[in-house]
Amino acid sequence: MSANPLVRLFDVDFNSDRNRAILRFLFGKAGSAIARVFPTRAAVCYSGLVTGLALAFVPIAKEAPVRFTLTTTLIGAGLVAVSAHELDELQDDIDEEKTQRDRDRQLRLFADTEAKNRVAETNLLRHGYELDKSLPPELQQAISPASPETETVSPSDRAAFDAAISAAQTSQRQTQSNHSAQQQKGDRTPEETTATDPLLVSARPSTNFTTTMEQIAQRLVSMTVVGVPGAGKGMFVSNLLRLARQHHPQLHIFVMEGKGDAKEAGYWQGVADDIRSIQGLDASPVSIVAWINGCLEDFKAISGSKLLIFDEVTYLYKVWQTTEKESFEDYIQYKIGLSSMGDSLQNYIWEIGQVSNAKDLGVTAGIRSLFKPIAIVSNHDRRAANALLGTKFVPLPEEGKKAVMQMCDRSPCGRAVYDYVNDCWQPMPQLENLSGFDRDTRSFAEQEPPASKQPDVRADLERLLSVETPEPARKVTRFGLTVEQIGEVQQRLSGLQPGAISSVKRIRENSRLLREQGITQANLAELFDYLAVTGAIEWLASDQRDFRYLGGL
Amino acid sequence: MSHRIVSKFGYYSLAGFAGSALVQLAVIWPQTWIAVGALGVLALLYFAFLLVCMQGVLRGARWAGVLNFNLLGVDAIESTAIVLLFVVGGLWTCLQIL
Repeated sequence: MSANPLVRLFDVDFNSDRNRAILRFLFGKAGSAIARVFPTRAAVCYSGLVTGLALAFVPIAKEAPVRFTLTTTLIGAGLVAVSAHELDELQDDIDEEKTQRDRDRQLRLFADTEAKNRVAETNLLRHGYELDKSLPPELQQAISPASPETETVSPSDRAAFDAAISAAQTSQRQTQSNHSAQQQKGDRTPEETTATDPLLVSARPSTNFTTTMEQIAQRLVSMTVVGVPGAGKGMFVSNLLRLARQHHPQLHIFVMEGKGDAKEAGYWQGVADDIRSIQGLDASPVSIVAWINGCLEDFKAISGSKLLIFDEVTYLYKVWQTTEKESFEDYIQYKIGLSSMGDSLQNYIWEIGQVSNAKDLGVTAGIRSLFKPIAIVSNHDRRAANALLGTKFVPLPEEGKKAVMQMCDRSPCGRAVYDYVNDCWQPMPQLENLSGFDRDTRSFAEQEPPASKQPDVRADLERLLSVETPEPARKVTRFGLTVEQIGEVQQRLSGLQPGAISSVKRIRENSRLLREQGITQANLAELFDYLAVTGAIEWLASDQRDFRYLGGL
Repeated sequence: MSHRIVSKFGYYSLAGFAGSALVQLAVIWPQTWIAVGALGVLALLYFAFLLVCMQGVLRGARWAGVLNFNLLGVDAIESTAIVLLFVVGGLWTCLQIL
């Protein structure tokens, strides 16, 4: 042992545990001190780079002694080299993190399939087939473990089960034959019933499209309705909606309609709980995307069983994925989730569009196939019909496209329809035109629907906010803002809970639309003053910045 | 714009440091001026070679197919930047110190 106290202090073995502990402590302290000064890794790298450059060149510029400048240049070079290397590493980490995120996203997609299987399995174990409301009552009675009588019967009683099935099949055949002579019920008149003309009978005699519609309405699924322009997608969906309403009175029907055509408003009126409409061709892409995002937020906020009707998806999806790909991807994920788990949650989406090409819909063919297909073609536009029939969206009959066109010719309305229930094409029966406008003849069937009944949320807002005579919705500029901008503010406000405290600044900053259209806080002052007068908000201070939302919008 | 571009800039600036350090070393230890001169000549030759290559490429000469912009496996712009920074670093230091 040395007599020197310094040697004794540091110990002879420099690699001792104590020395290593001291070094760890010092490095830890130095590291945390650096982390306090430079909160991010990038800040450390850039600071090192700048310091290195300064060390290398500033002493030379200041004409310091050459020995000193040479030293600082070498130190500066070292610092720059280390910083550049660290920046490279940082970028590698960022890239890897991004790749990992993409990989996670893919894994979530796979996990969705797993979740779907799990949900199906759980339902089967917990409820048997009881959840399947499409089963005939006889079968439900035979299978359901709900009643004490059925519990006494062994589920393995195969003979009883088979008997119930055959009874149900016989009953179903009878019901189908009866239904073929009847018009669907509800708000339709007996005069409009489908004729039992033998020509209208499908290529498969056991199926009839009116019955199919009943089945679809009874057992809801998420689906994609595709058809050439004017094929009757709206007519089909509007009739189907009324049937769905009969079977599911509690279902919240939410319509997003991208055409904004007053003539077609009748499709949704009286059946939908929520109708959102936008004139897709007139609106800017940014406002279309803001509208879609707002609608979807509202739809997601609805609890219980719900159905989203998303009309004109071909155009809206194209605009959406071109303008804001990220939120479009999120929606696709939501769709995938719904297709997997929506059935047990009773959440559904019906997409209505013109093309079935997966690329045009912004998804892969696999994701497109998650939604059940319905396709409608008409003999009024054979070229467009042939183009649709050429896609892999729906299978063709063995006889090919010609057979489908022959079905169109046999149909009283000149249309053929493919449905996923029967997995075949059928001539389409004459359905009631609920819009009141016949696009085939370009004439109003009865009376032109009044323009004031157009389901336009912006018009509704304008009416809500107006103090004087209402003007045409799209031309009005009030409070120095356009209707669209007022609509955006309203949407932001209605997202708040009554009693919540917010600020004009936050409302403006949270809205991409307002920011992109250059609306400042001062521009919003007049509108907010008005809202304060009407009692929708309450100012918290005299500076009129922070407010309490009182509800009512 | 990613950190990669700044990192590249950091690496290239090392060539400037090298030119500057060499000149400073030559001031302390005069024999190094020989190396400085030699490297200066090499840099000139490089630029002359680059000009000849560019003319050959522009005229579509057959040999330019071999001596194209991908010189010695390094991108011509990158190698030119390195040589240029080396020369500029050295010259600037010369002007400041001498």
